[in-house]
Amino acid sequence: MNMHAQTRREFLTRVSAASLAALATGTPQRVFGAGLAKKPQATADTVILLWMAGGLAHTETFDPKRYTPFAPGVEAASVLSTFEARPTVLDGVEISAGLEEIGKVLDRGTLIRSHVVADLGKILHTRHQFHWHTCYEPPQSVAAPHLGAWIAKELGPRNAVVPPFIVIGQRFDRGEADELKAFHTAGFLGGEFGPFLVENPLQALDAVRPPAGMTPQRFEARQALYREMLKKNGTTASDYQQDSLLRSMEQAYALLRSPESKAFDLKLESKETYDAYNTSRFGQGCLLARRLTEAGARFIEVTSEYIPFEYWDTHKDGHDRLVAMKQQIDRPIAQLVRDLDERGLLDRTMIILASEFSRDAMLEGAADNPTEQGIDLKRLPDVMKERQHYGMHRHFTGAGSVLMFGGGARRGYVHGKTADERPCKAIEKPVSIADLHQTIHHALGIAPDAHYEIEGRPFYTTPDGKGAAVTELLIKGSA
Amino acid sequence: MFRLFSFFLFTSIAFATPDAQELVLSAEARGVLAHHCTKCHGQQKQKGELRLDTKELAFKGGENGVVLVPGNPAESELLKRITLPKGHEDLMPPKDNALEPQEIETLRKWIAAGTPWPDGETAGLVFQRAAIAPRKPEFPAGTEEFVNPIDKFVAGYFRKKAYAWPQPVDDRTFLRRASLDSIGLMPAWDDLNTFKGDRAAVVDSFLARKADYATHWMSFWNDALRNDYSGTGYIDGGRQQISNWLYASLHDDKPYDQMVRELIVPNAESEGFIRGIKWRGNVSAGQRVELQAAQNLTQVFLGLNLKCASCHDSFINDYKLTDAHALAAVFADAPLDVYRCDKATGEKTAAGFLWPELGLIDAAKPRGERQQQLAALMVKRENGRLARTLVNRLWAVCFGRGMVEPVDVMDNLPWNQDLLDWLAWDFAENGFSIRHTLKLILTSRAYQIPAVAVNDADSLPKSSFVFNGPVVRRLSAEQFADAVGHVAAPLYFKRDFTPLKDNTGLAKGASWIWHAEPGISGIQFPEGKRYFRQTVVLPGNLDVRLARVVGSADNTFTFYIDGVEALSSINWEVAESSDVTEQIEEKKSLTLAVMADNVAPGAAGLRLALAIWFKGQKAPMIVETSPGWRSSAEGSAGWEKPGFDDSAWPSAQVLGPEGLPWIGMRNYLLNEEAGIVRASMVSNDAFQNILGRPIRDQVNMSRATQATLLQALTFANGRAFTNALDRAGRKWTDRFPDPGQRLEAIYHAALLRAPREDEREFASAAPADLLWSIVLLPEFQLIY
Repeated sequence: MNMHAQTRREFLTRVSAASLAALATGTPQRVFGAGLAKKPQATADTVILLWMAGGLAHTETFDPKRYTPFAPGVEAASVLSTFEARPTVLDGVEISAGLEEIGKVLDRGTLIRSHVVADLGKILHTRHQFHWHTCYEPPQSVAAPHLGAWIAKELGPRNAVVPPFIVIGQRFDRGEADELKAFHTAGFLGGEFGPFLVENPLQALDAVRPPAGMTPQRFEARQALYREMLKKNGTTASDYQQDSLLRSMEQAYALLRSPESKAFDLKLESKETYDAYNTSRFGQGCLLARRLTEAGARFIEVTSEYIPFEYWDTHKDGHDRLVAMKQQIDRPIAQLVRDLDERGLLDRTMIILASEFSRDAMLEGAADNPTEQGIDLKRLPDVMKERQHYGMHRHFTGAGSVLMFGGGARRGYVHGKTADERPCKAIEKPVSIADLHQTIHHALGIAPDAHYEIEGRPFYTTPDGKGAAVTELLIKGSA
Repeated sequence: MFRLFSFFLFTSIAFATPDAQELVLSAEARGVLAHHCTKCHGQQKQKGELRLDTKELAFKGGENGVVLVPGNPAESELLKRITLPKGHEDLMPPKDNALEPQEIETLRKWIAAGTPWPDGETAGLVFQRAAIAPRKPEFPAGTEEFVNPIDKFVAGYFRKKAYAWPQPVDDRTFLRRASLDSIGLMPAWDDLNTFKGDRAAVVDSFLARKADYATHWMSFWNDALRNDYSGTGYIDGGRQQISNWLYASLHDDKPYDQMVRELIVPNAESEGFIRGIKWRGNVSAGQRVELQAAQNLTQVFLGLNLKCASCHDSFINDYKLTDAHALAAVFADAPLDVYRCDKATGEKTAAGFLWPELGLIDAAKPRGERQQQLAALMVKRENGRLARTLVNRLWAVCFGRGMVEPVDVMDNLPWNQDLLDWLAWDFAENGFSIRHTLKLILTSRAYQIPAVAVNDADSLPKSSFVFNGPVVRRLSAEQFADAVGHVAAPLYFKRDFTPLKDNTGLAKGASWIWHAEPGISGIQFPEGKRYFRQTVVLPGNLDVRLARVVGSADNTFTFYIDGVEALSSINWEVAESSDVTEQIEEKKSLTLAVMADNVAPGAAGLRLALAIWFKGQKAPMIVETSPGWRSSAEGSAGWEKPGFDDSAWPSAQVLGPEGLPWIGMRNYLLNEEAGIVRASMVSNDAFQNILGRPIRDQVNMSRATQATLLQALTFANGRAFTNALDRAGRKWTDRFPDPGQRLEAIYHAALLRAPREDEREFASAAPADLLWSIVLLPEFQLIY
């Protein structure tokens, strides 16, 4: 090559000392006065987002209303909840049957009952998911980054050999895969901050160990060969393209043989612990999230997975499906909270449970201005004759429940309120997506006006920097 | 000097300006004022009775006197106020809006330079604007020795910079560069070996490979026109591909002005661009499809950002909310409601065009006619901006940095105005032929300067850039995947887009066949393995140059040439192909044999074609499945070998042509050029995405190219990547059992050179690991 300069050895020495964060240099976008406002004092170092994909009905989970058991002929309009309410560890706070384990740890977190997402008109799950994850409604004229990418960009990795932004449990080969890909991205922030995707928690280790079938000896020999070839190759450093390549090759090698890579291996857990989490891929994902938190991940999303008409996306058999979904999430989430708390990690780890919108038995869309049933939605009967009609089969944006544990979130606090009769919309202290994002950023010590310039335009973590951290949700003193 | 200046401003107003550099400084400084100061010190508010948006008022100062002392930053109140300590009550801009250090530095330099500020501008003309009219500059004097006009301008530029022409790169470097830039592929070792040194001729030969050229440039244009084979919007009909139109346009070098016309006044195949992406539900007013059209066409064709102005009067250029809406209204069926920051203003806009001096759009005409008018304005020769924008993009592709940067901001100054203007003029003059301009660039001596290493990526787009050759680039995701496919093993087996033109592939005549069963006339056959044979006599007087086979079977098949396995597939949805040259070389006859397996009762069929090219012959010999093949339900010992007696086997049964379920098999192709499935023809996957291929929900003209940890992890243990290299390791070992010869051949293929003496020790490395290391070397990954 027609380039010249320093020796390979010099360069490699420099590389091994470089942190992952150093890779952030050389991104094409110029920083344009990011975060001029005062940075809040951080109360969290790590975020775990537990994503309830498909629409978690608040009246069926964390905000139960009057219970109506199923009987043929029951009027849909009379059904608000298909589960009985159950007491929790908090005096006077009830949540739905099937979530008893989470109910036992509610004293360690905050329950928001007044989360209100934007009404985007005719429902498309992935569009609302895009909105929730990026804080921007699609389409956008520039590629909006995922919340995890923002956090990775602003704070960098917590541990240099653990990818800062990890998404666990979503497969991208089915359903609205392209719409999902559109927000599982660092967007204009650049690929360095993109998600490290773990589709199957049980196979997570495969992503961070030498290729299947490659012995440790061969893996070492391959790396040694590569280094030797570089040395004799006569190429040079001093070019950003080349530097970034060599640096990242060394970092990948370091990660693949680091002790931290063991964090990806669920087999290292005791059978007892594994069983405590092993309700489903989601449960396994929670266990993996716990291990990665211990190892030093920055942002982890564990999703129940979005596949149209699966999981929380109930278009029939809603009640029975939710019995199964609650079994998937109840124990692992409670266990995750307890485990992190026992390890002293919950104080600096913010767990958030959220969904793109809620559901209702009658109303489609917003509470005050419900849209007509979409042409692709089957006309739902006003009278529930068969058991498959019993449940929440329409999409509702008028209220939603969000859980927050740790990382500065208040303990044993319930925020906001919804109406007890249909529409069961938020009637006190509404919290928007932008508010929620600002609250998360606040807990992480990211300034509310953090932004970058892209195509001449300042692009903030929330649209035009809107939304405000809801300080009531946070422990006093951290606000 | 007056003439020079008239290019920078849309309205040419006479005034004296010492030189272009000061003009840049002036524009930058006033950009800082526009961004941060004029909100309170401008037309709308005049805090402290100060305005900073016009020259006269800025120099007049405010209630406390003058704020700018030309040549004296220390005495200038403006500089004092912006450099006060944080938290000081007089700090400007107030509160937490302090300027960035580089912005302060810009203003300091500007004042020190005497606060250059062109006269006569109005408040609205704060930002730099490039001229629209085309211009044919004279060649610089004393550059007669240069043939290529590009070099004449570069020579003039170098002379001013007192920069000497470096020696051109060697043949290897040149071939690699020119091949990657024209057709996206690494040249073959043979290409270099047989290269006679005529660089212009080899550029011609690359550009003449129309399918390879079109395939490569699909990536660039898909990025530009935000077209892809999968993505958001397709799910509910909110988006359409333009792939067929685009491929055909590139293949045939359709004049660029015609391409633009066909995108603005689209036909059924090209309307996907201007129709935008329509998501289900409500979208923000600035993303209505009409505004998407306005934003996208100005960005792509004119290097102009109307995104800000789609929401409010822009603060990065002079365009207003009404400008963006007027252009969008061209595509609206009714007058367009104006929204400011997503709130309706109650006004409606009629269709209009940004630059009235080029002409007007008659808003009273129906939409179709308005689009015709807009297209005419865009492509008319007086609109030099169209050609400048495109030639600058081509330059940026080939040199790693545009003459103007960013390439989407064509109002910025080029590092050489004359070169940009001349190339644009020449492009238009030569029928807007993209290949013409590419040839000019690729055959220039400027293109053959050794690559310049860039230490700091952020410095590259800056206006202080000085051209001294192409910068080091990295292979794109697609180039890398294709190069691995050539050197090691294919990463892709199935096209997601197959150009219609390829339906004329050489394999089209092959019949679907199966073993005849009593009483069966359709395609539903019992399960089980069936055996097929055919013997071929080769012309004894000709040497085989290339042989390729493509085949497919429902459900699986294995194909043998003279008893040796040559191709197999376990997926009935995907045709497989392979280069079988070595198995055919120096043979007089061939025995072709196929075992096909219908794994369950149901549809069964086999289709296969073999093409053999002989040296000195243009058309290949084709052998294809037909009634001439014999078949059997039993594969007795040696059935696949040449000596086997198949005379008792009956003729195979030909299926169809009607009612075959496999008609849509799109990758069933047999062409001389199509050695591998090119990455640009498959949907974006995790591998390409991680390597920088963008999600094409938006126009994207600047891919990030530096490596990342996620890329390196994919290289280190990605399954498809590792498998391909393992396969390739076995392939190379089969071809070259001798480690020394193998090393040599791998170096030839991958690096276009022999291993050096101290590299010969790598012969003992495991072949797959050797290939892995080689494709991850900067020498492989970079274009230098």
